[in-house]
Amino acid sequence: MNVPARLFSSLFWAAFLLPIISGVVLTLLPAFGWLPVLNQQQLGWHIWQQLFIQPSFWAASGLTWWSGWLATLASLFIAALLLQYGFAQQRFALLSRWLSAMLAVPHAAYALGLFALLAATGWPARIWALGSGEQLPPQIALTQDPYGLSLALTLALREVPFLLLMALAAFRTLNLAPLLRQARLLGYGEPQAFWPVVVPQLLPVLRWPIMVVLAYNLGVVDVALITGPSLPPTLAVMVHQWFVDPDLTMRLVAAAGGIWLTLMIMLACALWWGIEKLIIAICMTRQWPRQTFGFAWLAKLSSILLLTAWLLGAAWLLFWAFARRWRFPDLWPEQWQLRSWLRTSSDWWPALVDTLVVGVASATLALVLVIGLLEGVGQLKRWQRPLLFVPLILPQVGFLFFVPGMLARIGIGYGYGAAITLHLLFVLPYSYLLLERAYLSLNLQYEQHALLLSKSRWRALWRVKWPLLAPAFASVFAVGFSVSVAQYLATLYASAGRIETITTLTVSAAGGGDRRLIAVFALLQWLLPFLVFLVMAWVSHWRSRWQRA
Amino acid sequence: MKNWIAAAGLATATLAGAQWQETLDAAKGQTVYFNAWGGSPLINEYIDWVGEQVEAQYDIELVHVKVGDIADSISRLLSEKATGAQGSIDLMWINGENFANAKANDLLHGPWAEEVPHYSLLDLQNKATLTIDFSVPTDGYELPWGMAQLVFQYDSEFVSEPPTSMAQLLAFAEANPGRVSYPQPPNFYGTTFLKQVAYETLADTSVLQQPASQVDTEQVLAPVWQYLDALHPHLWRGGEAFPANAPQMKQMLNDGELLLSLSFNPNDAQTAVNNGELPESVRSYIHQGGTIGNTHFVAIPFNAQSEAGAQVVANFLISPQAQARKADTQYWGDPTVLNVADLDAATKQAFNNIEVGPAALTSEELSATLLEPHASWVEVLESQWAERYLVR
Amino acid sequence: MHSLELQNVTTRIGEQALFSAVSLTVAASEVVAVMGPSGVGKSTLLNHILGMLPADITGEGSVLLDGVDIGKLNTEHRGIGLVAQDDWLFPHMTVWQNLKFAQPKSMNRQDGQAQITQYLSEAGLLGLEKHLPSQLSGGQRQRVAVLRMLMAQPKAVLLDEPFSKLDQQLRRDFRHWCFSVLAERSLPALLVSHDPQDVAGLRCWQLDKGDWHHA
Repeated sequence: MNVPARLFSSLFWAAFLLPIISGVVLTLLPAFGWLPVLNQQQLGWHIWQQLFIQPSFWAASGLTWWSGWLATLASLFIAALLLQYGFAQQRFALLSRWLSAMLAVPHAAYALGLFALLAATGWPARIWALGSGEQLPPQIALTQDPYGLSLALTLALREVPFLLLMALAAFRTLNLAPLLRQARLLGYGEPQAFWPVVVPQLLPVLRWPIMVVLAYNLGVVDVALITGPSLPPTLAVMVHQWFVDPDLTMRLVAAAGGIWLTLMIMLACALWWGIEKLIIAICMTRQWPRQTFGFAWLAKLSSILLLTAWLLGAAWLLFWAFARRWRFPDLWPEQWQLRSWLRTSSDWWPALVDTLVVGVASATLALVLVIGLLEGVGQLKRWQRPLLFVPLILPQVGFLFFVPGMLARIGIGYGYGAAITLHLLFVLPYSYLLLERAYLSLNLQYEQHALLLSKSRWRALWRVKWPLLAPAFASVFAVGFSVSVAQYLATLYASAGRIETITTLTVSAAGGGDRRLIAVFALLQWLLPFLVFLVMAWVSHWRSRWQRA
Repeated sequence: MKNWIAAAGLATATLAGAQWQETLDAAKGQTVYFNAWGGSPLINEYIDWVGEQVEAQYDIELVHVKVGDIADSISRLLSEKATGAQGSIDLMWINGENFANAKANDLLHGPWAEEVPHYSLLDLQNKATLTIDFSVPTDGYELPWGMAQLVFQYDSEFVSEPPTSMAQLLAFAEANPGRVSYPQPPNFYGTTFLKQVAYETLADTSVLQQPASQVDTEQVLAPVWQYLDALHPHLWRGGEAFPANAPQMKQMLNDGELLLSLSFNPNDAQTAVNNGELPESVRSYIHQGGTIGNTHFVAIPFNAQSEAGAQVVANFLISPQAQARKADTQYWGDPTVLNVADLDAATKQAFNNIEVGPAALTSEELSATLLEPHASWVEVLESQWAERYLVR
Repeated sequence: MHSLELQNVTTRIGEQALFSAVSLTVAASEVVAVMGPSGVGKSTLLNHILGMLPADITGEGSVLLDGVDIGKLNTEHRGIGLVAQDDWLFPHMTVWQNLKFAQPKSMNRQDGQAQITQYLSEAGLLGLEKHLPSQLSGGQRQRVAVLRMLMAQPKAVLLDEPFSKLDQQLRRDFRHWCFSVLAERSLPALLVSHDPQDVAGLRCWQLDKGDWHHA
């Protein structure tokens, strides 16, 4: 290992492990009673006793467990349906084209857009009211319902594109299409062949991505704040509220709550491992009917739901962002205005700048670190790869809160430095996984020939290998950027309030108030990664055209 | 402007002028991070204006750090104290239990408030809440900035006779099931609603001015929970969910999802009508026996990097110029902390010229204000509410 | 007795014909070879028979199995078996599970087990039933692929370069075995191959730049 290789590898791990380890330690200590600044220096289990008797602690834990699993299993089922009925048979071309654009929508904006369908004042309710002559909205709770159904639905729909993209990639890597063909030659219908042949092979490959989704659904704060119930809220929201409780000693309970949530997520991941085996066993032993029309119907319905939720969500935000007066049950605003944009420009303009700075910096840094790592040291070893998923699986409320203070102490300071450091934690894993795949699929012959011909490692890299990988770099950058844009707690805790990204702005505005202004922020949050995706798609398109020429 | 400078000059002369001059000199070129609630564009615009003014007048750069809940900033201070990190906040908008907590945990710099020149212009005689914040003496650790009073709003298109007491509110909710609610405590507005219920249901309300630890709170508050037990089944979503805060209730009033909303600012409804947020048929009202009023303040954290700058900004915030603009419904519509009667004629006129629309309440219509209960009641009300209603 | 017949099969990408008017008949127990340089459309021909043409290719002409046109049927209902260059054994299933997968649902358990055991012993693979495909040699895998295809009780068989990945010695043995099991079951088979050795002694057609003729 030469010097720059060692440098990149240690930088990579430092950027990665330092915040995680310190975050975990700094959360564990208060959870066991150690927070000297509050004169809490008595180590023991008393904080935990306090945690367990918090009002509705158990109800919140139960709600979290229920909604997290419901969301995960539902999105898995929808993704499987779409894969089986749609993508594996080359149907749903429209949906597949927009899949990564749908993935780019940050969770908070997606949840706000979904209000178009779910809210008592959403479009379906308005159409109902116009039909029935009602003047007041119906009293049905489709958002923030006490059972977390709307929360689960939002998360489920939002995670489908992620799972589908992962599944499609695995579908190609495992070369499952010919196997599916074989099964059909052996007399199996489409769904009949899919469940025993494809599912058992896909699930083990998708184990980590599914656990990431499961952990996210159990530990999410921003979406749960927007569309989750509040009586009680999910555990993650509760812990977040304890962290900012005016009663300062609640920080200790919050730390214990964060650890508790972490334990719940670890249990869930372990359980998933068993459930995966169970699903595979069922898929392989059960006799599947030759044609399952119910599934085909469900698959069509889910593809329509996915697309309409996405399009109507964007339209809803667009309408509200330019509305002046829009009362129930009008289908569109009565008066329009630009003022919502103008009067909040002092909010969203700096937020846009901060979002861009942090997003571009963390996406670029991640790209450089990962390229350095892959060129210098090569792929991560087998035992190292699970470490990549640690920040994606640990709940952010469980370990992020105390990290910025530590960063400030070692001179990184609040604001940009801390925000970029924390965002990097979540951008790095995705960047690594995507880029590793690009590296693996690149034919080594190119590099070998380039080396033989140019006799210079740098020339081979700059002139041959990296240009060939440029489209991959572009899409990794776009993914990194959109991951950064979507970060809520990481930004909130790191920034000391000094930098505001479009996401923190959206979530804090979503808590209440003027829907027109919320729509302005959410629309921007929606558009930003989308634009970056478009630009990057154009760049990689242009690059590959240039290569063909 | 001239009058204000004259007033400032007078204050400078009477109050250790040389010392204040030192503060002004030190403040020059400083950047002041002002952590203040950022949920209202009107208020944000006002603070932007303050930034322009202090830049021009004192060469101070004011950065409005928009927070959703000032408790976030308190926890930030705490972690700064824990880690010994550099202070990130210079000035913050605060009151009530947040102040009580910060003060008790030595997170505030002070006493300083009584030494700023404009302190003498405050209406200390008539407004008891200027020096007693939720029954906790301010002791010069925070400077009054504005006045607030709980008011209710309704849409006269759907409601002809709004309920002007808690008893009437219960009847109103029974008649209009699912169309009444209040923000979920511990949201500030929700907790205030609980206090208002306490004032209207307790036989002896004087107990609210004492620390809660001195009485049997379960027994004292029993009528409050009795009332809410009766009210909740008729609330929006059967009391199984609550709006997050008052701005959300305003949106729901606009949608017709709710028939009543509430605010801490008597001019709020008018401002909302003016910008299309609420229909023109919306009106404000208060309860017969009066509603809770209080004061909001600014305070300087113990580790402020620009302490001098923060004092100068605070002093500017209570200048007649800044207060008159703040009281104007065109800008914010927040009632002043100054003693307008004692101001010179021109400034007085500026206050009197402010127009009040039909949706707002005039100071005459706002009858007697009720004092905030002792800060310790906040915790009691919130935790007992949570115990009763948070668990399904 | 089974037979496979193609009548005037033509395939096109857009307006351009890949090949046209291909007709042939394969009788029971007969292996007919199709030869031709790569890229000429041999796979397309097989895909047309299987009903698996990619979306951008259209096919015309009849495919008759035992005199019945199967052109409108779904792939899984056509009753055609395929052994390809790669074996496409399901990697997550054991040899036994792979074979079991292909058996008709109507077969009862005991008969099914007996049949698998019998097939395995015929192929000299007894004792490997618990193995995963990855634990087998190339020749063994290819034999399992043939057995699996036979389990599904096809009425005709397509062999798409099934020998090309095996070395010389193995190749001869496997080819011999393969043709004999097909003949035992009186199955018509269409073989696509490059290698003159593979097609020695077979009736042979040549597909060349859209042109179709006896070799």
